[in-house]
Amino acid sequence: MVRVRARSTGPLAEVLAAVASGANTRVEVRRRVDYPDDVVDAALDHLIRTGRVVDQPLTVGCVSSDCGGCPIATRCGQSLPVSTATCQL
Amino acid sequence: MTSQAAAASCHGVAPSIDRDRSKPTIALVGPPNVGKTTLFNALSGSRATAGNWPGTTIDVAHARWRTGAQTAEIIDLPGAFSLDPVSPDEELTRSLLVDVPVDERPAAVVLVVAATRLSTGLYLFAQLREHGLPLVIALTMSDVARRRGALIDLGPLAESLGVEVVAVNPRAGTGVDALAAATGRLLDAPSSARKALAAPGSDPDERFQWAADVVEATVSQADESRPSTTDLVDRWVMSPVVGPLLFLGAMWSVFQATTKLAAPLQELTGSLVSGPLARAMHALLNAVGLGHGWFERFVIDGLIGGIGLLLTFVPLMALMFALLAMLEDSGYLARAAVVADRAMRAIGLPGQAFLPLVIGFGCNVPAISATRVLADARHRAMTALLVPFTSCSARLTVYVLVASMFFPASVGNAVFTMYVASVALVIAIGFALRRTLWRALGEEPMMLDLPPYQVPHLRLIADAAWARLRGFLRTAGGVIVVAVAAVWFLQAVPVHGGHDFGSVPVRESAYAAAAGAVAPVFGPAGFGDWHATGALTAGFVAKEAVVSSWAQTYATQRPTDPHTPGSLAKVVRADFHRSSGGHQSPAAWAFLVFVLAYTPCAATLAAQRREIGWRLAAFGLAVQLVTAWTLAVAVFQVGRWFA
Repeated sequence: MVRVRARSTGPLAEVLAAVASGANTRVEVRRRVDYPDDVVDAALDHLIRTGRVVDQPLTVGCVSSDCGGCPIATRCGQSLPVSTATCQL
Repeated sequence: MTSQAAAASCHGVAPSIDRDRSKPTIALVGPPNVGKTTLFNALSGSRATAGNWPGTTIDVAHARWRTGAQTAEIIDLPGAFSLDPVSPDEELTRSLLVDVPVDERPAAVVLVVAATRLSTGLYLFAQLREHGLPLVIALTMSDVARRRGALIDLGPLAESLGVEVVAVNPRAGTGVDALAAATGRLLDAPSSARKALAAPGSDPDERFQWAADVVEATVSQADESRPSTTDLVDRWVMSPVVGPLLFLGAMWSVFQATTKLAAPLQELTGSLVSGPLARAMHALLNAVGLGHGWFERFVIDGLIGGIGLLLTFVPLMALMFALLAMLEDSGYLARAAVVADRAMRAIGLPGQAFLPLVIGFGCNVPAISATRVLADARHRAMTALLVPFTSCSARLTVYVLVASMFFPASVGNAVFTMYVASVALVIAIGFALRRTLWRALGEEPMMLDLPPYQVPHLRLIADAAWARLRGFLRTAGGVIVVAVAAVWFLQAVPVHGGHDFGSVPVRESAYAAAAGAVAPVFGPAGFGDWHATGALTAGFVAKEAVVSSWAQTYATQRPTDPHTPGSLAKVVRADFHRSSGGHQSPAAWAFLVFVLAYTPCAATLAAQRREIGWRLAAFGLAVQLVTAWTLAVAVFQVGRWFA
């Protein structure tokens, strides 16, 4: 039988509070929120999907279709593993 | 969307789905990427057909499925995280499950839940149960969850949920029969016999709280206390205290390695350009009858002197780009971006602004375009005004040149100091703008998705470094050639009588006259000399032009001896010594600070005008010039006092 914990706020509220207070990675949010990682991830995904938290991938490609004078503009959209944030470094 | 459906839609408009309404309908529902379609294929075999759902362009596959004693029609509904749709796919799933009249709802719902993301599935389960839909759960990816140390107790889970839970592995085909049997039992059972359980609540947070309670009661984490290697490394790399220090250490190492390793190569390139190349060109021009005239001086002093000096930076740039690409490919720089993001939030800057600002350290022009990622117009404007203070790679050439002339023993430290100063300047100006113009600026919560750590790939490092180096070479071969020609033209025009076009000493040229008119402004900064101010003026076109025009100016002063242009460092130091009253080092620092803070290039101004309008772009220009001059004067005056 599921034992319900008494809490003043739920996972969504706690995750949102953690992000608002500066936790900007999943690892950090998990560290700050006292719920199982699986629950934290699900709550975070829900907040991202509903637009309450912006998800910024630091993976591949340029940030905009208009890369202006970007020296690696021709690489945009290709599989070069250049992070979004640092594609110009 | 199923694979069959995908195949259908790839070949034009798929036909509308034709359902068999004589059989009970079973909906296969679940969030995306939980193995739903793989399960559908395992259940339906090759009997599936696909097509657009009537009235929509969304592909839905359906098939006959034998469940115990009866045959049902199973429909693979589009993936949905919840019944509160945020996409057309989720809209269709919701409408087919709950928005249709009750008698048209599916007879049963098979909810596919990944064991690796139990809470996500439970959230959807909670919503489906709120609508009273008959449910059975197909639990996929149990093996993956087990490998990660998560063990799900199916008995208590089924008891908590009040429905049957069947572990399936559609790839291996295990659990499929058990799922069919469980679904058959659900179809056979009269609705009155189904377990009635209270819904956890209609509020999303209440649903997640309920999911958390279920997870805590039914999942045991085998090695919860043992964090992964990535987590352990990240704990230090992204720590609020150690993280910035590690980042500074990494960047210091990059600049040290770059300047130390590239110095001999730079020297070699320089001697090749000013020696054999200049001599060969001199001989060639003489051979074709173009020697000893203004054209020869343009080629030798202008193109070879100006662009040649710039090209000596190619080994340095290549090395730095390769080292940064290595840090980037390893996954470290993304962590550094997280540290930077935190630092900016701490002083009240919008968190998302870090992205264009970090891009600005490569080139300011795309960084200003990148401000479009910010939704708020005020965020965009503020960030676009800050981008020019990020030290782009073009400014690196000036830093290295000046540092090697004035501080040859510690070029790497000098360059590193300029980058730290750039970060400090961005923070200070951002803080000032926030306290004055944009006091009510809000902040959007943001998450950063980090790539995993990996061993850098040599080919990809070379690829990234070459892509950036090509950009540098393109600038040197394009806009800088134009700048060199313009500077040479101005240096060839006499302002007094007695000289012909092209044979005037540069100190009596239009260039020297114009630069000399500006020079007194920089007297308090210690470099009120027309050579320096002329180079800074050319730097408005692009920062590389500071280097090329400087080389041109000093080379043109020796038009009679193009083979030995002399030591640029020696003559520049002498001029700085003269203009600073003997305090050449503080003057050199002041010059560097001015280069860091004043307008990066004409293209940046154009990008600013395009993104934030000419008024704000003009305001930004004024801020840059005032900041650059004030800081340069402050650095020189304080430095002179200490000296």
